[in-house]
Amino acid sequence: MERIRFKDWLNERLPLVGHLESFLRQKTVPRHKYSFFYLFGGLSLFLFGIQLVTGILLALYYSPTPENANESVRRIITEVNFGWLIRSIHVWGANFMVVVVLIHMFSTYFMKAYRNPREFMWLTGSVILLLILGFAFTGYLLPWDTTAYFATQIGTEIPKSIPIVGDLVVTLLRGGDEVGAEALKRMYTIHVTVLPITAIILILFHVILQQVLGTSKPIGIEERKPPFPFLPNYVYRDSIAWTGTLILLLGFAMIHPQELGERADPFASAPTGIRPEWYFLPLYQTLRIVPTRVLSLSGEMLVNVALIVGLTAWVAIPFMDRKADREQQDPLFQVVGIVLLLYCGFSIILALLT
Amino acid sequence: MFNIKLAAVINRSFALVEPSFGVRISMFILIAFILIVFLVLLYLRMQEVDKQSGIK
Repeated sequence: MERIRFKDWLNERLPLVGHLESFLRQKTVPRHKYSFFYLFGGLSLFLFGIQLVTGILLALYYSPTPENANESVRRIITEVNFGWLIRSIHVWGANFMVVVVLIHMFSTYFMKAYRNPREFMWLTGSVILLLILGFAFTGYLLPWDTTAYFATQIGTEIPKSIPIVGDLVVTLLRGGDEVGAEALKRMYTIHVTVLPITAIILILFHVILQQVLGTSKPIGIEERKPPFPFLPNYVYRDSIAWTGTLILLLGFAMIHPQELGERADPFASAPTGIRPEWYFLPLYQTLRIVPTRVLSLSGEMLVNVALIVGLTAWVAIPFMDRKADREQQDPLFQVVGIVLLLYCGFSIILALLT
Repeated sequence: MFNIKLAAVINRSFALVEPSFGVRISMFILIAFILIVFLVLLYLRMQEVDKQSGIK
């Protein structure tokens, strides 16, 4: 009897598989001294997949009400088989993801991969980063323990000083004046529906654009020949990076599992030393060093306005760096990137030390 | 009663719920070992396909 290969069997019924394979076999990845940084895009996707799977598993047992939230997370840790591990992977995975996406974004920035014709890749990538920070912010309240509660109380207070829309943003997030049952319900809904759906659509768009436009090569870098064929050579590199990251993630999750604090008591006074997660520390530290009033204006309002202007400028960089389109380096943008990196690094260290 | 206690011990020993530090670290070493073997195999295969493509 003639044996039919599975690939041929599948291709007969799903001709798209064959087309995809031949497309990926033709695709190449530039080979130069910074090629290593290309791995971070795929790695972000891998970590997003881990977050999605562990998040779905946690949602099976989680209950988003102030009465049950903390108890349901405790049940996940103490009663559900491997619940402690799934939760720990989800929490550590969020931290890993922020690190990997930041490396991906800054390497894209310094290699000027945002230049023509990849402006939309930069735009979607920037929005995806904001969504990931949104995931982290909304997910933080869900265990409903003392730290999460008071950190969210402070965190949701920050947008209040934004001119015109500040109060509306706070009400939208909290569903009332204080962080309570409504806020928890809203954070949970945003965390498990709004953000994942938006993120999946944008990631799909980002990945499809990457396949269509190909991988960008940094300006003025000598490319080695031949380039990496994507399939199979680069896929092996991706797989090695994914496996290595998985080992590291499991190490953190198993050796240092995320602990759960006592159930939040909204009537208790806020414990001392509450600070946000490390990726929000640059904003937190800026709010701490800016005086309460600057030239009769609220310091918090000025920081918020500066943040919005800064983020808008960051997203619009491909349209401002015109030299990059002519394959030229603009030292101004290099300096801006380095200053931003140093500021974030120092403010995180300073916030952790003080 | 005895069965319940036994089940709790088994659950903790197999890292199902709230395992001790020792159980967690042993479990990690076992999984990491398997993944590192997989990593080495991937690396060797990558070297092979690189040679075939003229990259190395």
